[in-house]
Amino acid sequence: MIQYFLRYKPGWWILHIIAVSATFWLGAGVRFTF
Amino acid sequence: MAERRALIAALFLISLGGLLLHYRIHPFLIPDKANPAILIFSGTKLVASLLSFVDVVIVPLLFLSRRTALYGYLLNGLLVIYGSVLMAHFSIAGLAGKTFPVSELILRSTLPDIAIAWTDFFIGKALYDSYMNAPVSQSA
Repeated sequence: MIQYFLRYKPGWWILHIIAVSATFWLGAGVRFTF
Repeated sequence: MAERRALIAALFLISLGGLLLHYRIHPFLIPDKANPAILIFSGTKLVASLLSFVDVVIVPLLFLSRRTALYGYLLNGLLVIYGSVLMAHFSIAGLAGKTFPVSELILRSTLPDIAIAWTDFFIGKALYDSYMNAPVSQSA
């Protein structure tokens, strides 16, 4: 398990966590009203 | 390299067009109908302009150097995916809100705009490939 996490550098994980969080935040925040 | 400068100019101009169109079509400060002196803020519309602004300012800067081109490529791809999903969502919401009929799904939805967003992505890909395929001495 730990080997899986160590396969990638910390920057890779940080970048992906930021990208996934931003995606969820955007998805939850947008409201299209017509 | 002259080709790379042309690609960076193309990337900058296509994203500038995107920013200006987003701001024109979805301004995030709209005058209130009852009292035009009061401006109503829309966070969703701010997102449209904010993401386009990042695409104009940060992405071309990241593509200026070989060291940061990878991050430019990633950010550009992320923004194009966000744009595609949000614009498609916007069209589907418009369809539900009956702003256009289903028969006009191709021409009056945001499909043409999504195609332009992917052009932006492929300009970024061509730039990234030009950095990665060139010898290190040529790629600044």
